[in-house]
Amino acid sequence: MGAYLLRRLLLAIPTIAIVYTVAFLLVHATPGGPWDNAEKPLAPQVIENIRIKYHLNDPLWKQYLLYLNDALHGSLGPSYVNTARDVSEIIADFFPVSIQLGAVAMLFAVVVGIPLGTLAAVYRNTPVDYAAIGVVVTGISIPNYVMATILVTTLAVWLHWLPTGGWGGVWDIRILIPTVAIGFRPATTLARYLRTSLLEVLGQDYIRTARAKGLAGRKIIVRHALRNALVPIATISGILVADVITGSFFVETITRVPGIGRYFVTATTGRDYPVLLALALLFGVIIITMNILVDLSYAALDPQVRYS
Amino acid sequence: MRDSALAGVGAPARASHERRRYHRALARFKRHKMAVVGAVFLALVILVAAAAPTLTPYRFDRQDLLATYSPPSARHWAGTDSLGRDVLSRLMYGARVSMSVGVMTLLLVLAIGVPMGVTAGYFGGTFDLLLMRLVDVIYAIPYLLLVVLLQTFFTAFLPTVRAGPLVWLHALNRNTNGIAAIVMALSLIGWLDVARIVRGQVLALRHREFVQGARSLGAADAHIMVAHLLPNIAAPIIVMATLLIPNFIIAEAGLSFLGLGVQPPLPSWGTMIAEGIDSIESYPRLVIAPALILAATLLSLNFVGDGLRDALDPVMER
Repeated sequence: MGAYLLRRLLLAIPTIAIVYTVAFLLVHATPGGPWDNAEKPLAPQVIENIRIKYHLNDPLWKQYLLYLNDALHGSLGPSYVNTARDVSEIIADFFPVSIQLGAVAMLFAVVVGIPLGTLAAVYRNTPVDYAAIGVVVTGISIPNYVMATILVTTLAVWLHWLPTGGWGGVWDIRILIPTVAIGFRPATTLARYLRTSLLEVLGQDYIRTARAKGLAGRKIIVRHALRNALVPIATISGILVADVITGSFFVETITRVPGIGRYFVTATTGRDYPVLLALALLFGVIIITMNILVDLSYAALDPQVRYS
Repeated sequence: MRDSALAGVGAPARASHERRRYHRALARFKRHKMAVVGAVFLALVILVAAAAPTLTPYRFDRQDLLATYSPPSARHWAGTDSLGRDVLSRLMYGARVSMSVGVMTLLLVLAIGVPMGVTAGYFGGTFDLLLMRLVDVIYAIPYLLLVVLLQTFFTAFLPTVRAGPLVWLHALNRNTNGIAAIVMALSLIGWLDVARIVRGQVLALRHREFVQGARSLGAADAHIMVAHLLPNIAAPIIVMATLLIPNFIIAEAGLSFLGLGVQPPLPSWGTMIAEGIDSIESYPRLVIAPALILAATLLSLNFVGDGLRDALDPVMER
């Protein structure tokens, strides 16, 4: 297991390096910054000072290494817009909100997705299955920003059941709309994969053996089938996390949640490139870490993986 | 797949076989009620998109500042927005934007992805390995995040191109209100998806008898790829294509929602949602109309895709 972990971590390093390089080059190839204002141009001397402050006059390779060195020491450089602050401080401010919302949305996805996929597989080709497939197709088709808009319009504007937006922590009712808007698509993705995986497991011999032994149907599903069907599902965790991250851009903006997703959107429109670079790195690292964790749990559950 | 084994059989027999196959596929498609409904709705959207300039009652950017936020009426069937622009006309132009981005991106990703995927799958080797590594790395970054970065780059970079070989791109992007940049950003990553799927299909076929047979008869690699492999992966490619379009439409509306997509005053459903959000409490219809139409279009595309999958590839497991 130790050797496997080491190999997996070593493989992650080039991936992160490539993510960093691509994000760095893209961001640095993008001309200008928030100070490029056509109506109120800054004095050339001011711009020159800004360029010196952000090392923009240094050769690209020097900036590349400088940033990398800073990043490894926990500093992601000053923001263009919020000039007094380091980007890592900004992340520390806004990220916790998004982690809370993301965790609750993920929980929602699991709590809704697993029963939905199980019901669809157990009641295959019955109205229950068709209804579940209908929900799944809806979830796959409808992007989170449309979902958020529809939820806000119906639940908040028309029915007045919930506020239209804002944030008050995990136990505040204002978390409901963003949770569903972000978590709905991952829930249906989970249900879709689980249905296929469970159908495969239900056809296996050991399920027939369990049935022949006279075990109750529910017990077979939960104790035998579901447990085995969930193992291959672990591989899609990366997709689900990516979905939650990109979902936060839109949903946090629509429901006015002060998280990092909303900050990212402000940074794109405000041309705050250091923030964009830092967040691209952050999201990349999260997903790569997630994939490693998945692989490790996979290896722990299935010894064959380790030796292949 | 059986058809290619029959490639040597006389042409008339093949033609009637093809026709039978087509009718069977059509019958299977028609069994899907939702796919048929989706196809009809989609046909309507495409029609509106194509004929928008002649169909729309008003120009999409015609402002009437004396009639802002007016409710639906005989003059403005879907009311007007914050600048007094006719919402119906804007919705119709939104269809035009969504459909053009969807179709143009699809054509571009197929044009790049199919040849790449076929060659990688057929020859294997270093090229295949590199391609798959690239796919692995790109998949580690959320698709939309990468598209946002690319689009940020394009929107800032293209206007600065005043001379040189890329100047036509700048003009194209300006004349299409930013659609060209969106299509480029989406295809630059999207083709990898196509290449990966096509490669998988080719891998599954390349050791089949009809390929071996063609090779033993002395067919050139290029001939085998074009005449034997491509026709046999056409069905999964068509299915994949219909299911890719919604992704592009979602991404375009998403970019436009963020203010990175279509440049105003050209409306996109995503822009319309973003513009309406601020006044959602007083005028929810400005948000809900584009949201629902976008949702219906995406649902239709998915239903049609599912119907096509069952019609063209009955053995494929759902």
